[in-house]
Amino acid sequence: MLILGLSLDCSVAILNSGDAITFEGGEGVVRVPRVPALRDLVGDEWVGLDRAEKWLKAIGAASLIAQATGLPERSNLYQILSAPTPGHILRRIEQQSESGAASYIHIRHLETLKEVMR
Amino acid sequence: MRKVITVRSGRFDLDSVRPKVESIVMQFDKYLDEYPVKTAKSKHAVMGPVAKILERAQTRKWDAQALTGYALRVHEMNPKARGYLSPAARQALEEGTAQLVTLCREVPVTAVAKVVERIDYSLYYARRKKGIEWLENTRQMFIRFLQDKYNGNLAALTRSWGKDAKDIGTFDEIRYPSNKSESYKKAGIAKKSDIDQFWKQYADQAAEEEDENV
Repeated sequence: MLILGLSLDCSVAILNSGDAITFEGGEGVVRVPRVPALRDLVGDEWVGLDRAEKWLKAIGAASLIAQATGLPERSNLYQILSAPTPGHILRRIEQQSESGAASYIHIRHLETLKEVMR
Repeated sequence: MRKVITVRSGRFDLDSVRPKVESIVMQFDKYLDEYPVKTAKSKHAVMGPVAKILERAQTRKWDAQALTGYALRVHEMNPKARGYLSPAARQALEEGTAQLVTLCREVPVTAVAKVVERIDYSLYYARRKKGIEWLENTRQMFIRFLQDKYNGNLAALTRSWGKDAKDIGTFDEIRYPSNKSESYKKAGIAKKSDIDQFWKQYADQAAEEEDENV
């Protein structure tokens, strides 16, 4: 949705059949699905243009460190993005790593993630 | 019959104390910049006396002065500190502790643990990030050192290092020049000599991996 909205310079929303269209366009790049946890994570109904790229990069960074965290596949992205601080994820990576240490690459991804953490 | 007494407690919003949390983290980070342990592997070693401060502050039984005194003693007891702490670092430690004790008394008792946890992990991230960046800078220095020595010729380096260079495809793949690791102990003469020479030449600029016994 973010890639579509940013590359085509439009607003993207996924609706269930029968849902009323209550927006006119221009509210943001992506309408956050009506899932309370997701709305809480993003903090709004729409991801605005100013935040869309940060979210796209953060989701990318989360997917790149997901394996290192050892979190379950079905929820790792959400757990990473909703972590209270990047320190929580860093600690998790260290605990999962054989050497007990995280790398410089991990720090770079965590810095990207920090942009959207609340 | 008595009327029912009802109490409704509002949900505590952690974001409301974010500026205070950031200020405390900044003060402790400033203090830890002068703490002698910087790149050790364990969280316990990296956090130094601040871990003890955080643990005790959340009991809400310590005052700032007593807690700072306790932390200073822990600092002095570290042989690497040689009993010294600069006035700026001491001030940062005092201010951070005072702000922490005040914050722990301000927030609802049910939120104290969460607030302290946020400070703990934010500070840990800041410290670890600095440590990893120092080690990465050292790795880059080592790469430049080898490029100078072998005139940018990777083939010359791999010839010299032999089996120690079997996983190196580019200069950027060269690892941190640890002189304590198992791979150093098992390395051939050429690699060992390059690492030793590097540390001799850059001892004052490069960041060394630290032991856990600090």
